[in-house]
Amino acid sequence: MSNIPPSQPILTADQLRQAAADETRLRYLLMDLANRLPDVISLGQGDPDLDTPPHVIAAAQDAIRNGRADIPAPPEGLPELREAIACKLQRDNHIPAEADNLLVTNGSQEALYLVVQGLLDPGDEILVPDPRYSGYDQAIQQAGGKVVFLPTMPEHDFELQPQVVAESATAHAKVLLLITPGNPTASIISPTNLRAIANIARERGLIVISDEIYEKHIYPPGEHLSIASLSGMFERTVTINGFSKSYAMTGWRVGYVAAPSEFIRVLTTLKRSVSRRTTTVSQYAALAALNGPQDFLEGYHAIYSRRRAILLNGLRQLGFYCAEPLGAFFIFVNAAATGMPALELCYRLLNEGHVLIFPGDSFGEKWTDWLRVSYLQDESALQEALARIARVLKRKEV
Amino acid sequence: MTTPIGRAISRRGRDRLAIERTRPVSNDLIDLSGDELEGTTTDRVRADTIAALAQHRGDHYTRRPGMLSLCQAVTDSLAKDNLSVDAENGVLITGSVQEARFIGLRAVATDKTIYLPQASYLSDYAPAARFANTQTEYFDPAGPLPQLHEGIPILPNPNPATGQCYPREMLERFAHWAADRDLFVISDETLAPLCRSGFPMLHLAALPGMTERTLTLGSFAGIPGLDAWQVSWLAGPNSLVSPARGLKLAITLCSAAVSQHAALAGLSSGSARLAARDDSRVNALKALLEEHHIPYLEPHTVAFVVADVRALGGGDVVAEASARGGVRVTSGSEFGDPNLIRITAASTFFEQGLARLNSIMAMLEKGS
Repeated sequence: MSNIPPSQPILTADQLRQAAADETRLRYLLMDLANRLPDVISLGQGDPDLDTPPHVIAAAQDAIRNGRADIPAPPEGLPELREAIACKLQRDNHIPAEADNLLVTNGSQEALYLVVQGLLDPGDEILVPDPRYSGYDQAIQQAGGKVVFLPTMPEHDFELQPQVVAESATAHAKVLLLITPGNPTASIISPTNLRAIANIARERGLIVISDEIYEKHIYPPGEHLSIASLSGMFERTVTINGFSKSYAMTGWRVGYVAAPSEFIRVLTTLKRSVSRRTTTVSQYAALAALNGPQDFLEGYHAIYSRRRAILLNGLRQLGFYCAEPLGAFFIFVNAAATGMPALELCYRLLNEGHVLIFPGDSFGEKWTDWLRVSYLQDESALQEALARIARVLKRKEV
Repeated sequence: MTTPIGRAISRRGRDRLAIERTRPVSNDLIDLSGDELEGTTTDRVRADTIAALAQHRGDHYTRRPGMLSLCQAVTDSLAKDNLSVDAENGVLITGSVQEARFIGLRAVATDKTIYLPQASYLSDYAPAARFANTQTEYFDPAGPLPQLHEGIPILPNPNPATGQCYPREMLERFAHWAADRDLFVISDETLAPLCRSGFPMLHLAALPGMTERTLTLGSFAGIPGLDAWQVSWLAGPNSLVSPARGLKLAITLCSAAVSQHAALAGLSSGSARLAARDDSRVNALKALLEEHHIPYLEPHTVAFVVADVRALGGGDVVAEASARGGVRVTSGSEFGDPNLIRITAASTFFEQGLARLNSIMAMLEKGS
């Protein structure tokens, strides 16, 4: 598609603005709109476009063929998968987890939902970096928790600063949420800052939820450190991770929680109430992902690196300011130079350019000049998306 | 609680730990309790699902409320029973029956009073009810219905506590009562696909005035062996399904794509829903009970037989003796009547379990 004429909007800008009060709903409304338009290039969602590795699929097929997929797994997860995850955490993350420190969940989304329910009582404060992944909001709201935002700044490439944590961690604060690498900002908390934050957590008695779902997606000079590996932190840290992002397995819905066993027992009872167990066949797929060859991860990483460079350079050439993305597969982009609020820009990009991008509004009310752009498309699609963005911006100038 | 996290556990978490049921553990225990409906998937379901995986159709998130083709298959099957539901906006694919119950309850009944039949399977609802901060009260669907104008009645039909469907006249009376009081209702029809021929189950939502006020919880239980695949559904008017969709996003985003493909394969291969499993096992179970002169409720589904074992000392006595004898059955004290036990025919080791039950009952007869 070389040039797209402006189409009749299916959704009005006002409807979109009203939806902006609920960040998650705003994203889904944009996705819904995108689904109704032809030939949309999505730079919105966080679903890796790469295929699940063949040996993982083969293991699942094998489990189906021999009937193992039909046997319900224990609520806490297949024992062999819990063992394999424990080995991975010890080897890769230096987290002293054993099998009984693990709960397998239906994706990391269920993990975070259960963890929040297991930790927060009504009125408890949870410290959340801003901008944030709003997928936590409903879980916190249902637990009756009170969110205290920790501001992160462009001048630090949105890296959470220990001083901000120290200033916000009052006596009412119970839980500190860390997402590193971060969504939507693609920031990473450096090992130095993470150690300082760990000290604050110990001093103030904070429990840490460490969401590390993007741990395999790190770009120089970024470096990933699991806070639970630091001295005295395992017993106060709940680590959340999963297979969706690292192994391109979003459809399989397998995540996990690592924490002291007494908390895992609580989470297991909560899980019985919510979903009872995790799909058996998906757990065999996850087991193969961990136990099988890992060299393909380098190939995946190389692909993402090239895409990241294309998009980063392209956006900067178009005049956008981009925070340095050190992790995940997003770029957090300042769109103020366009003279349009991000929501309006995203609306125009979608309607006129058929490019889906999420506005910063969908990650916190302050971020109305920002965009989250993902690079989960092949290189030619990214080039085409950049060309379409350029055309929409030019049309606006005219 | 010895770690900082242990000391930080929420009240909800501590409560759940305290009420968690403890169960006898034995490697040699055959489970006929009915908590799990065991089975194996058909060759067709396996072949279709393996093919879907080969085409990478299991790799990515599906449409968030569930694959539209699966939602359509659900509505097609409901349409055969005169229940019209919008596939696009009226169906949500959930991860399991338990998740359907959890989401349904939280979406519709949070902070409200729920009303359950006196004989119901409370343990299926109690945990979700605690999450949803609901009060639970009981009513007799066959008796005088309560004079309420708010709250959410839940009607499990077929009822897992009795293994029976409610008759049409009772459902019509219930529907009239609910409509008269402008109540929303949850109709838990997760056992419906297991109804035996001759025992048709009526959808509450298909009755006059009920379509717009009923959230129907359903399952793919008619597809053998799908329990471990964690896929189920709920359906209703958009006003009820929409909040449920929001909850699903917050809890698990969407259900495993591989499981949705398996369910679709099961439905389209004709092995599903009303094509109930061979009920010869149910007949064998009935024969055993008759041999021991134990009265039972005529089972309307192939899932359970509920027997009155007061002559053998009651449900708890029989359940304990059965566990010692290598079989797990459910005592009626778990679902409202301690004179009863619930036995399932849907177990991989049913025949061996039945033989053990025969010995256990003979022993209890001698003892009494």
